[in-house]
Amino acid sequence: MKFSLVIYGAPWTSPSALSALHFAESVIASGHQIFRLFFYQDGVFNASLAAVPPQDETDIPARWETLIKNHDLDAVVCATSAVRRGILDVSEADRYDKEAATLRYGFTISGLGQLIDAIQEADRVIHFVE
Amino acid sequence: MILHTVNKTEVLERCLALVSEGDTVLLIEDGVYASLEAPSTASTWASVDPAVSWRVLETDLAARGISDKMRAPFEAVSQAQFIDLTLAHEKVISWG
Amino acid sequence: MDNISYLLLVRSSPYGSARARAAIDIALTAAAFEQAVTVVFLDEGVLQLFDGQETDIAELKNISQMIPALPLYEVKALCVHLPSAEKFGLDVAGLAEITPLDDAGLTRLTREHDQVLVF
Repeated sequence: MKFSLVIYGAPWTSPSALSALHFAESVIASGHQIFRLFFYQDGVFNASLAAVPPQDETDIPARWETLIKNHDLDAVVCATSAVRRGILDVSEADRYDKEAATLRYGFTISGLGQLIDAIQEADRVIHFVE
Repeated sequence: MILHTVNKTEVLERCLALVSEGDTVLLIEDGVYASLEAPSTASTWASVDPAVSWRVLETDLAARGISDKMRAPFEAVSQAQFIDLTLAHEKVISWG
Repeated sequence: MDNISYLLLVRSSPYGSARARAAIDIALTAAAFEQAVTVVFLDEGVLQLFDGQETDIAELKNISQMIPALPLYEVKALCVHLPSAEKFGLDVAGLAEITPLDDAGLTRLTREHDQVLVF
């Protein structure tokens, strides 16, 4: 079965980010598929390249990156949510004349239409709300 | 049949007003505190709909030190059972 | 694209969080993709419907101005939960293009729609 997960909360600040991560990892472990991970609102902070958590805490963005890479997942970060929060890919950093790109590897920035599409294509959609 | 996830106690009342026979309510994150066997939750559960299934995510219960304080009719479920619940219902409504 | 029906339950006040805005953005996007969208203002979400929101000095983006525009973008099914409106002293009589909804109607909508999102 195909799942789409929508993540609204920031890592560490909102428990929902870790709930989503654990759920996503379990979906894969159970032999199901993830059609898309869609990061929205403060959820875009899960895709932060620059976040440095304390060593004794779960590195949530890194765990997402690993899951995405190992299973070739489609991880989309909502463009309007991302840009206003300073999560920029190379082309956006360039466009807005910012010093650095801050989008983590494995994630792509795209529009809210990708959320509608993710809902359309999945058997089940779970929203991990703040 | 709908699976309702509830991640904070403040939204539980709104969820309960919209639950119907055959639905399941799953408490997660801080929502698990609504399953505490304590005066804090007595009025909420004064009458419990027997046609609804009441579940709590066990890892969230354990993290909060209340695994042994869960009131009936709640049952603890694992992450894998959470996934099964999503598939056993036609849709999931996430209350938060 | 097949039709998926969306019910957006807007429970948040207009300026206490970003949720109100998120609901509107998703409503507009779903409608742009020709999905059926219903928006219900309930609980503190009815606070979005107070008129006379003067946001200039507070420098807030005026959410209330976006709501009357929704029908222009094909989000025509707008509802207000009557018990919530009464609780906050909102007079629904003056709300053009927003249908009053009782508890039974609210329950019915949550069962009928494919996707129910809570804001």
